[in-house]
Amino acid sequence: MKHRFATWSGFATWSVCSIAGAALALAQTPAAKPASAKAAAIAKKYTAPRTADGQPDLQGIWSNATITPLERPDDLAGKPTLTAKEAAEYEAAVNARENRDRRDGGNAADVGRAYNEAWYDRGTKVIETRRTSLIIDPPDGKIPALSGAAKQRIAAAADRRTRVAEGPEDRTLSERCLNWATAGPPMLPSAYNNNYQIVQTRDFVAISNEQIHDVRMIPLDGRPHPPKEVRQWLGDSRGHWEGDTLVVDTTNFTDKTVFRGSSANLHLTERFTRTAADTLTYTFSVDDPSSFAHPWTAQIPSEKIDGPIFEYACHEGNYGMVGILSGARDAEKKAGK
Amino acid sequence: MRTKLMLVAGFGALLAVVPAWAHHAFAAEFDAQKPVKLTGTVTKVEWINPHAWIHIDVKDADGKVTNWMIEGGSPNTLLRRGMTKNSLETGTVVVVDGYQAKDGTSRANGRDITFQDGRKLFVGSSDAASAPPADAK
Repeated sequence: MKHRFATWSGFATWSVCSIAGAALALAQTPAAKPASAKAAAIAKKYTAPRTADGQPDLQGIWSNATITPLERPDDLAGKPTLTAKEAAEYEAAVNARENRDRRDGGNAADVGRAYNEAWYDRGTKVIETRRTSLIIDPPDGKIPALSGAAKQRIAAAADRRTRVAEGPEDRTLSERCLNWATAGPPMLPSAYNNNYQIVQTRDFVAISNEQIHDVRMIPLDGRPHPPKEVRQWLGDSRGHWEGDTLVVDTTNFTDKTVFRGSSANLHLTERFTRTAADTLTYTFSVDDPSSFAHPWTAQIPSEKIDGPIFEYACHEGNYGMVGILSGARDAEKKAGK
Repeated sequence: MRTKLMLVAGFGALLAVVPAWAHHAFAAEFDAQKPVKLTGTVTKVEWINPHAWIHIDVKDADGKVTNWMIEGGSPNTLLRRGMTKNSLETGTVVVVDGYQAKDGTSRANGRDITFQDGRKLFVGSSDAASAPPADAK
């Protein structure tokens, strides 16, 4: 069977950073083992070049596409890493299953698969460390237990996708072109357009996401977060350097975005370290006691790509919203409402 | 061998849970009970986000022409592969295998879009041999 993979032909192969990547994971988990000192030493082998302002240079266009899931699959409980052979088998299985050229599954599955594989660019490979989850802490690779309120938020979001829409406000934020869940923050891989561009000046780091073309401006001057009454769709980010790592602290979220059940009290910490010329290791920690039993952390190596990032003017062609609402009205008419 | 089967089964179970939608619930817009197969000529290409739309003139048995709009994906990925809206020229004959809009209008989601000989219109780079001629610029 011929597999049709999304193209990576223009991308360099993953640079050899698995040791550094694993070292970084060890060094940054609260349950760091004694090996972390040695791991940290290995991680220091690559030193990022400096910008004109003397900061580690994280600039460029980075892709976080990967097929490694956020959480460890149940069947792999207790198995934190795949062997090279297992990873190859997993990649083949996932790529076959995710292939949108498949016509099995009946009409309903077909409609969901929407259009063929050519349009997708979700990545074809697991992360280089072959860890079986992006989550590195807790060690079981699972999101910690959810509060009742978090479960309700998740159920409400799922309901939104299936119930008949009275108007645009009944639909998801992505359908309304307001906000893209995987662009976050935190940033996670998605079906395509997994690209973000980092630009640095002396006083700011700007992160531009291709989908849906938001820019996070992160001041580096140590100014405090706004008062808690001020709430923003992307939260409010503040950055500072710890050695070669950019640490970004984000609070002041609204209650409109729900990340795996998170609330407006989400406190997100992101770390960006250039662990190789072609690799930006991105780590995020979620702290939201009203949602999760304890904090949790995930790590995604991102690969440097040539770009460019293309514009994603989401609402320019948002015929989908019109179609969804028109379909809902038509269904009501047919039901005699 | 057993490990391999276990692995595939495990990931399969996980993937069944991961939502397949990218931008929106297509089932809210298109009707699984209304599959269509259309042959038409391209009249316009909207190479836009969140979805590209390809407009085609479809002639029925009586010669009546209806213009359909066919939904594709985000054009950004195809742009990276060297395809542009000029890769699909006006007048090109295409065959669309898709599902009609729930409200019954002449709109469909372009499940499979091919040339008349069955070659896929939009392909990944591994199928570059059957891709339409890319815009040289």
